Amino acid sequence: MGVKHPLPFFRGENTMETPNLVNDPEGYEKAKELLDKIGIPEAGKEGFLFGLGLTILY
Amino acid sequence: MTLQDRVDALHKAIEFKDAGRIPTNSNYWTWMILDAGYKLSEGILDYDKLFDAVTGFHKKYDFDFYNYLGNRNPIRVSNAAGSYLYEIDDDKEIIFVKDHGFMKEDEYPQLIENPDIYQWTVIVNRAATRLHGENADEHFKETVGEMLAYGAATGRIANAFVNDLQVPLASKTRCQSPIELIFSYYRGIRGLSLDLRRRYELVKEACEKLTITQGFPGIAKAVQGPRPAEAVFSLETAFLAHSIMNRKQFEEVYWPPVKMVIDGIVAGGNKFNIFCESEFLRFADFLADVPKGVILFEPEEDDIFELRKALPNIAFGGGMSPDYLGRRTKEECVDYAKKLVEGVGRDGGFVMGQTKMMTYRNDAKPENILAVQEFCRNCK
Repeated sequence: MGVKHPLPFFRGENTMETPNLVNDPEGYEKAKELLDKIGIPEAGKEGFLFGLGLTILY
Repeated sequence: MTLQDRVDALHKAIEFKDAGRIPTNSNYWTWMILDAGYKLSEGILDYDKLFDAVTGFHKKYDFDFYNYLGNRNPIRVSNAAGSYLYEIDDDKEIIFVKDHGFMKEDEYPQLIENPDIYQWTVIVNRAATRLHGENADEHFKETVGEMLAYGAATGRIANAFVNDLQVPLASKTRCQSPIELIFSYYRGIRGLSLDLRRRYELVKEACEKLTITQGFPGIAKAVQGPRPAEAVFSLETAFLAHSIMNRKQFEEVYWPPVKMVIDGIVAGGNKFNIFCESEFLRFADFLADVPKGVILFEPEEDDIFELRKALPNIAFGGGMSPDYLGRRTKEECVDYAKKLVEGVGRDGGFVMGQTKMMTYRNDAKPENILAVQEFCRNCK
């Protein structure tokens, strides 16, 4: 058996009930606020989130 | 050889002019990592090793431009977010990526209403398991940090190619027909195949909306301007979803945004790179009216000799298959390379490359790559 990366495969459905950064509508706005603190420019935040989302889904 | 020498040779080939040799394109991907002596997990997760593998590949094989400069398998980002879609098996030297569809079939109205919000709050919500719970903020910062590190790592490689190795980038702008988002990221192959039959009008409406939100009108205008000096093309794209579409669907859903950017590129006198998985011959007439000298088309499973007959106006890249590069002798590879030049590039319009994304160790033998490269350098 080879060394496997990453962690075991996840195929579950996330709950919307726990606090999170990806629920609607608060999560989207909170994610943008955090990007502010990280230093992503205002004009690029929505584009960054879109690209980050695609990378997570890739 | 300077970067400009390579761009000039590639442009001449695309314009069906004598380049003095046959320019070459690398469609090598994770094969580079294995050839460098690294395990796949090392080359993908350790960005210094990735840099070493990609730059080392060029120093050894010397292609004129590259489809892959480390910009694939962003596993560190998706792991940080908790989407866990990849599994690397270093013993078998394979990367397993699950065909995933986080979008549900009845959610097209939400996608159409606001694609950005829908993607983040519904689809990413389902995939990003670590962006939930008490530590979500810290995990988000970690994910963003990994995204920035990934960008820095691929940027470092691109800078090394342009400035140190004198190799052009393919392009600095990439876009795909919007249905590719639904195909590769949202619904998956099976889901979209069903949707094209059961809810075609909604798929079409979603793609029309995404054409706007993805900025196609702006891209079509931008590509009329000057090409970045460090790039071969003003724009590149990849065709994948056409593989599950019929002609009517292709014409109505896939083609309009592609046509929009091709018109812009033609108006600007620029060049466009199309990488095409699966086969394309049944759609070839869509490219029949594009002026000569604009497109380099890289087919995968098509008979490239048949494509040449169907499209005398289009330059083709590719031709060498893993069946040759991985299993035949050097002499057989060079003989086939001669056949490609004679049959596809006799009047120009040909860049030697590979028919597949070269991934597995057995896809190519190093001596075969070197033999074909030497033939191309000396082919007048």
